[in-house]
Amino acid sequence: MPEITIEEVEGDAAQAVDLLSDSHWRDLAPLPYPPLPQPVVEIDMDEETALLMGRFWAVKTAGELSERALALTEHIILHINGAHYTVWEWRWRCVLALRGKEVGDVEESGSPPGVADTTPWPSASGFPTAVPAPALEAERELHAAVAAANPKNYQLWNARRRAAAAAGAGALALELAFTGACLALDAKNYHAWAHRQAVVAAAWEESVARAELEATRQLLGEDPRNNSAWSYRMYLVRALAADLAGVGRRAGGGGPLEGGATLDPGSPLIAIEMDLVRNAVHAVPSSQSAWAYALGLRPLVPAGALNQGIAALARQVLGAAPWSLAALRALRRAEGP
Amino acid sequence: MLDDGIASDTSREQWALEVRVLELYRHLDARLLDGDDGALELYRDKHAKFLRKGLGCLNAGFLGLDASRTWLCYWILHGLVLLERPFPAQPDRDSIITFLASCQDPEGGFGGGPYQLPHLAPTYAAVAALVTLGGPQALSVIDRPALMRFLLRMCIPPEQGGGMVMHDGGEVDVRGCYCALAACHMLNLDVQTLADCCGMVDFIRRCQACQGKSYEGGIGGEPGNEAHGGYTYCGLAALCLLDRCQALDIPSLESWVAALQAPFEGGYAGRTNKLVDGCYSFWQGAVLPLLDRYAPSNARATETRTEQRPDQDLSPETLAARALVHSLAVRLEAAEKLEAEAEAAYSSAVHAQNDAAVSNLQHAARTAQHASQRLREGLDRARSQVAAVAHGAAALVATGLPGAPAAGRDVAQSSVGAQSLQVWLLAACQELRGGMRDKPGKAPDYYHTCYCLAGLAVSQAWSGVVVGGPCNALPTVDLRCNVRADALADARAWFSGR
Repeated sequence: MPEITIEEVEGDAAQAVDLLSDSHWRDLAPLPYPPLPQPVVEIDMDEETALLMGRFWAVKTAGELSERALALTEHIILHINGAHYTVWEWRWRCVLALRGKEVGDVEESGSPPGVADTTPWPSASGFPTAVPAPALEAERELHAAVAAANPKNYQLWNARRRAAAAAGAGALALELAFTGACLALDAKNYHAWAHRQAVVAAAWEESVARAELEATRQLLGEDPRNNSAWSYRMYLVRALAADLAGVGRRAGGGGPLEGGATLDPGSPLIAIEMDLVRNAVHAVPSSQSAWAYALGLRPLVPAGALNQGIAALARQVLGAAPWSLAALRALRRAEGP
Repeated sequence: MLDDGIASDTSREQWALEVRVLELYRHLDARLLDGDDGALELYRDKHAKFLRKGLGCLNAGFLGLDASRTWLCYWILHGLVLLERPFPAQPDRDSIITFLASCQDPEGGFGGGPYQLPHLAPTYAAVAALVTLGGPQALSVIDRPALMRFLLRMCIPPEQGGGMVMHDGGEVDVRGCYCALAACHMLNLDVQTLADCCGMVDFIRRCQACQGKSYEGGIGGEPGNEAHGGYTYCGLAALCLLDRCQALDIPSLESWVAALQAPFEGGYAGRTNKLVDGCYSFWQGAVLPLLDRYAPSNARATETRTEQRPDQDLSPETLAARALVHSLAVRLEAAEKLEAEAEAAYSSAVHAQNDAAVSNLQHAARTAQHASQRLREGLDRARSQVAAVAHGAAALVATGLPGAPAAGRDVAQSSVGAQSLQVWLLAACQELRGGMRDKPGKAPDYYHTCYCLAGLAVSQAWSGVVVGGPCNALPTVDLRCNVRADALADARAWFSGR
């Protein structure tokens, strides 16, 4: 990716913008809400909050992309409402306008192929825009602060996805670290898992996928009932299988298996997964996850090739743990039509 | 949950919930045995009061919902019409309509509040709220041509992945498809154009799949993501609005959703090995009724889905037997360990000859004591687990609930499922002081009140059973749009030809 230097930020913009005083805001009055005969779902705001939100609406309505707008968005996200999607979007537009470098064509932007199609959205600027590393670093700091308070916020993860796309495949390690930190606090955070899948899909490489398999193995060691980990593993394994079978794989999940990519049931990939399943169902036979996973491996091999093995495993487990409904269901599915 | 003797975060959380629910269900069981027919009463007036309070002024604690104010209107108004209770005197209809109008973007669509970017979710909510209010003044607020242009702008072309983006610069997930189509349908606008523009059917199909084939059977937020109740409802309802739900792997979807109804609690979880939550009573609870209506089984013409259940092993007797066997096997293992420790302690005692040996003996005795304590705790747990089954939702249904058909083997399995869900909603999700909640231990909120009531209405209509008696009967909800069926019909009629 070509080196991008930022011009020295000059004058007032370099100083902290005073959001509350009038000195930076003389030219723009806060925009009050349209009047209503009676209040409707009206959320109480103290004077300061009302002033700041009023300034933001003024800025947004005026179409202003500026340092003070950027500073305002940070304050609102961190201190008023981290779920204000308009504020987040405005922030990103400011970042692009103030820090970004517009490029005339896709090649010059340096984004590796494949990154873009995990995050399709209408472009605010119209041209692909490159965002320099320090600006992305500042965004990541914001993300970390927001995640600490609310790791399940849609806007946070959308912003993260956009910043990751702007950074390119080189940011993979950072993204995995960020999602890893969120998952350490909540191993089933849906947004974190979706983000993980998106960045891995965008920067797909076999070595990465195998490292991720190892990471999920560790998570499953901590909680073999973590269905999110099993589900992500299924994505990895199916995508790897498509690679091994030499079939094209669409980033994020579209069809090589529909074309019938199949592996030998005895292949190492399948064997390792069935081993993992076996360990899990012997340890926690009542948990649905591992059984669903075993059944989910079936499309990777010729039709029916795994059924007998799964049925036999289910019978064996039912012998020792006759209470397991999950084993019974799996037996039915493996033996069924 | 049967934890097979191995604890993990999942089982610990589940166990903590079961303890709370068991307390409620034991209490309920006692009242039912006493013949207390009011034991499962829906507290209509209390919930109505709770909802009404939210329509006017909200405290600063609600700032996190400042981008969801049209949602607040919808949750509250929809809840009130389901309860068949009046709106508050203040704010009046005029104010509410003016407020919703102020959230509309001149270029089309609604934001979560005035000046906000239009966003598919608050757009759905605003339209649904206006439809719920009904009448020309409310309905004429919506600039339908502009809204359609907004929806089309949110489409991602199929060659770029398809689906819809929630707002300019926003995220793409299956909620977008649903919010857009449901809004269109309520406004009597064409759904097919939108679907074609973003390759919607294929996008949703890929959200059920992981690299091409369905995995668990439910639908995830984006292609390849974990199956999840909220996204499943969105994907399925969107396809039903297009009359294309056959695009999904339906058997796989059915068995996934059936397995997510917890036999003990009676409620639905959103994902495998996660906790039940009152709101899934609607998101998940609507799946089988939707399939019944829009994808009737071809194989068995006379049977509907209400008479088949993929999982026939949830009778209370079977569950109790399973729990008992599990508890005994798992505790037996613990008892064997204890016995081994005790044996070791005794050996040490017999062979004690010097200080080191005495110290070893003390250590061995301490270890045996700990093992004994774990065994006792385990036995307590086992006893509770068996009790849990005896008092679980399915068992309560079997003993016979007020308002339900007489207990017995001829009660359709689906009715057991529906009754269990209604028990969960009425016994565990109602806050005595008003409002409905995620689960016991959580505070009620407007979102959960709305979706618990909607789930209850859907369950009643689908099963034909109103647990708690006719006083609990709720009006018909449209399965695809989640507004009252009569309000939807009125709105679509008003828009037709406009």
